[in-house]
Formats: sequence, structure tokens, C-alpha cells
Amino acid sequence: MNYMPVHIGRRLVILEVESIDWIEADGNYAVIHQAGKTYTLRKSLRDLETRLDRWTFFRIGRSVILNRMRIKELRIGRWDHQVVLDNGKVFTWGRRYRQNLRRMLSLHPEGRARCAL
Amino acid sequence: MRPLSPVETTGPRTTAAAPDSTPASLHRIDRLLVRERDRLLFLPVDEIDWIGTDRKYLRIHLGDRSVLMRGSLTALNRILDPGKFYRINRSVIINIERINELRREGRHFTVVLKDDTAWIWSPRYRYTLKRLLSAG
Repeated sequence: MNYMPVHIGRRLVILEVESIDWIEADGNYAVIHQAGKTYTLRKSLRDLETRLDRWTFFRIGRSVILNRMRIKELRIGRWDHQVVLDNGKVFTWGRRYRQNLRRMLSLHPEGRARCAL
Repeated sequence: MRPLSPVETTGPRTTAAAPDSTPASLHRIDRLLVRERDRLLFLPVDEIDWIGTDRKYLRIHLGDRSVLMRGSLTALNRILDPGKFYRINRSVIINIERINELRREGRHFTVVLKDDTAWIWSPRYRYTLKRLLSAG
């Protein structure tokens, strides 16, 4: 298990990386959602993206990084795809990030499905 | 890993959790990708009870639902964890954690799963049974 120390206000919180569900951008801040809790820190998603395991966390849009283990299903659209998390939350996997989508699907050896994307 | 501080941006960057050279094949397959019309489902392999064939397709049984998938058992068997999934005959792969009992019936064994489905552990696949029995 990997841990990531994060400065939040005056506290130093040590987050379990694998249990991060998703990270959302909110203006100049990044909001980390982890097991129902949220942590706001002043960091860019791009910065966070480079620190997280790129085979677990995928940038799916300008303002969202997702943990792929939380993904329950993917609804395929013409350009954008909908990602449904296991808690029922829905995100859009933007067309500009479809390279990331291909990369994630490449983790699945049975992926004939990836031809469709 | 270095703390992600809002102020501190200099200093040596440690390459802790983000080496980007992880080859895809090294990842233990933990979820199965199944296409269902316009949806891709990610099925956690731990939830799979057993996989059977349904004409040209595979049917994956998880709890009280099942999903149809295009593919072959041989291909699936290759990518699933060999310590957990066993091919028991030409048309079935089972998750050994779902075995309720193993019954000897003449030449072959019958596997009864926790959902009360029974399958023959075919004599042709005796080698997988041996693998299971020698494993524990």
C-alpha cells in the first residue's frame, strides 16, 4: 500500500493512495475524494497526475482524475464516454483524453472491446 | 514520497509511486472487461462464481446475475489467476473459492458450487484437479 502525505491547511494528512476514489479540480484547488471524505489542497491536477501511479489513476477530463479500480462500467458514446463508478457517480471521459482511455483498456488482455473505441 | 505541500515546490523529486514504465502485462488481472452492447462492464474477478458457455458465447455468473460475453474459455483461462480459476471441463471454468464440495463419482469428480450448481470435473481435466489438490 502506498501512502501520500498531503498538506491540508496546517495538517499533514497521510492518504492511502489506493483508496482515493477520484480527484476533482475546483478552481485553483484539487479536491481529493476518498471513502466519502474530501480533502482540498492547492495543487494542480497535472501535478498530482505525475505523482500518482499512472496505471491506477487516469486523467479522464480537464478536471477529473479517476482511480480505475472504482470504475464499474463505461457507456460508450460517439465521442465522449460516460464512466460509472461503483458508487453510482457518473463522469464523462472526454474525447481529448481518449489516449488515456486506450491506455487503460490496454490493461485488459481480453479487450476486443477496445477496438470499438 | 515527498509531502505535497502548497508552498514547497523545489527540492529533489523522488520517483516513488509514479514510475511510468509499468508494463501492462505485469498487472495481475483484477477486473474483467466485458462488452455489453454499448457498455463496457468492469467485473471484479473476485465476484465471478463460474464461467460457462452459451452457444458461441461465454456466460459469466456473478452472484444472482450473469453476463454474456464473446470470447473463448481458453483465452480467458490464460488471463485469469491460475491459483483461483480452474478449467474443470470443456465448457466450464470455476472460481475455486465457490466450491462447496467435491464428490467422487466413479471415475470422475462432481463439483458442487455454493449456488448449488453441479459440474463434472472431467477426467480430461484431471491435471487441473491435481494442480488444485497439490496446491492445498
